[in-house]
Amino acid sequence: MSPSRSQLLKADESQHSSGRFGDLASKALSEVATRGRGQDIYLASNAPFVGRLLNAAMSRSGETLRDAAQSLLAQGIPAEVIIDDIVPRVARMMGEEWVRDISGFASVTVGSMYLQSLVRELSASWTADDADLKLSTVLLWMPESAQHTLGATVVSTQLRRMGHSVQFAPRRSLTELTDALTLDRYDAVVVSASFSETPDDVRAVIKTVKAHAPTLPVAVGGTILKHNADLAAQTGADVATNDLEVASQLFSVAK
Amino acid sequence: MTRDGTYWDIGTVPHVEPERLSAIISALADFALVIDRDGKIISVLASPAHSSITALDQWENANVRDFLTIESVRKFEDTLAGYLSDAKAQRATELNHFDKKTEVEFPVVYTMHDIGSEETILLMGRDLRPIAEIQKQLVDAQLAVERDFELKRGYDTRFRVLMQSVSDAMVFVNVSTGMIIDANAAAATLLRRSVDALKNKEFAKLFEDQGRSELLAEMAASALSEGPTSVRLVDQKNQRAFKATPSFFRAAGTRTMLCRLTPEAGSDATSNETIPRALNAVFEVGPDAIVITDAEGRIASANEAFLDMTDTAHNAAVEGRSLADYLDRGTIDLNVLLDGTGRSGRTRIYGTKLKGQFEGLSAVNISATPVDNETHGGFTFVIRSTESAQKGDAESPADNAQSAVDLVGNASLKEIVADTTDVIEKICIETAIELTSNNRVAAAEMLGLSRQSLYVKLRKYGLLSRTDDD
Repeated sequence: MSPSRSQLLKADESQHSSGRFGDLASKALSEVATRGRGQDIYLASNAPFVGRLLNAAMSRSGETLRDAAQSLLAQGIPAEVIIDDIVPRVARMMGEEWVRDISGFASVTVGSMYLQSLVRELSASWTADDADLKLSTVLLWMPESAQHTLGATVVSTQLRRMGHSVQFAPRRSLTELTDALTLDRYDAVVVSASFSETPDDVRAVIKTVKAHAPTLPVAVGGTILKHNADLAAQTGADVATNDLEVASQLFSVAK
Repeated sequence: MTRDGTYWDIGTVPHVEPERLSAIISALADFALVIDRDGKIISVLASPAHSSITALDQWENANVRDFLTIESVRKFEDTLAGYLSDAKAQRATELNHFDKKTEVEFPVVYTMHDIGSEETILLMGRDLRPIAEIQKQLVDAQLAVERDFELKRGYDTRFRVLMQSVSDAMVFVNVSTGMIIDANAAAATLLRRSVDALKNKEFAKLFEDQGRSELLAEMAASALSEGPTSVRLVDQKNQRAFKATPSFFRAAGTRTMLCRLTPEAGSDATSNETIPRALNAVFEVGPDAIVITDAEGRIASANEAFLDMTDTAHNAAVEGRSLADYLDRGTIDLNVLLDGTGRSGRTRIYGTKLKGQFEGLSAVNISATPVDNETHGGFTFVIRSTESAQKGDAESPADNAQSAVDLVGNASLKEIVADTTDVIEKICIETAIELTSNNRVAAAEMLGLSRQSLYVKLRKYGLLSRTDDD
């Protein structure tokens, strides 16, 4: 549809009358207009996008996960949306496929490894490690028995995007935790645990942290919260939440 | 043989003695359970290789659910319900057994079979521990990779900080392609291009009279020769001469050159006598306003063009006044210009408006250069009107009208306004950052934001890491 002459004239007039703000608004409008429509389509219905990544991750579509993700990016879906929204949905669907005996645990494991690599690749340039020492430094820890590392990896990218410098230590021993706390100074510890870990696993981590630094704030989150409503009390964490905004308030208070 | 026995005709199926059946089942399955419709275990059979996993004798008369992990109980119930409603439609199910006493967990894939009795079901299971073991190794390998990436992150940051903090201009060049891989801020300043503009540009093309192969060959020869040697390079854009000291190395199979650039002493000075005369003419009769100030921005001298643009009759009326008096944003503009120029050595284009004596405003671009004066520094500002240029630059109204036509109907007014507001906010912040040469205190002041709010917005629009990298 092309604009009529009167529309053009009106646009011309309004531009003159509103001056430079009009220019700015016009520029912004044209940018919004030319922006990839992928994101809007995604918001309207994410199923095709989620399905595409799921099939790619499970090696069912002949398309690699990286290619599928590149195609989503090209359609205007930001990496943030892929990591924060699509990847967790795909991971949940993989779990559901196992529960419904559509896929075996071996395929689900391989699929989630692909997802984890994707998250790392997409977030490679997100870093809050710069000279500005005013921002928080966070130690992101997982119990040693942890089976699932994808959730924690996603959290690490989100914390970095929020401006925290993150040390991510996937699945290490409590001795290594003590070493890390001795060698470096952190503003907070975030413990990520999935449904397959127990409050006892988390408590052991937090006990080690508090023994070393009693005032260091500790937040715990992850799918472990689903089955443990009172996780903070059970584990000695300062807060148990899946909302990183809530968790990061803890760090800023501590600073 | 298919499960429903369509392959074997009923008449040809050999009759199996019940006492032989258990031997056959234990040969076919690692585990076999006979359960009732509630899941109570009537009998357990394990092949000799698997009987030691757990105390199977305790399983008899217990419920199979007591030996499953939480999520497997749900799967078992679904599979059992599916089997009871349609025995032929059910599929193999992976269940994780868990022995509470020994805390041993082991995965088994089961199929359910009708053994001719309404009340009992045969579960034939295959031990998945070998696959679980491979899975564990895969996960461990993945974690090792993740840890390596975390380490790499640390190295990357250190490398970036090192590159940005060294005052020497450093450029990495891929020797095979001749392309610049990376360059630091000092190199960007020296070559008068941004780091992004330098990356992926052919190194040799930055300099005069140089073919790629000759230049790199010359530099390689210089690196091989004994003692500290360097190659002289001349910037093809502005004829400034540099001394380039290369060193060659291989990084992950790529032949790479690290080149340190230093300005050649006196390369900017020219003995040509015509230049002072020409400059004088530019000052006296040129169309651009030129203002020379002291270090604080107080006007020491201004040319005719400046007097014209500010509707001032005589030089004496401007001398001693602050340049800020003539700038739209006053001291904000002036401070940005002075700070930016002081820090980076020059300001190329700074857009603002010039205030005339009668408060008329005209859009201008200002460039600034520090005046090298041993005793007290100062600046030279060249101010060029952009009034006429801007009209030509503006996007045609037709394009903008089309944007609105494209949007209206495809999105609600609220969405359009919200998105457009975001874009405007981003454009303005980018502009302020650009105008202030990434001086965030000045940018925040210019936008009327606190420094903290500016940070939040920079993060929101993904401008923080990029500006930090530059």
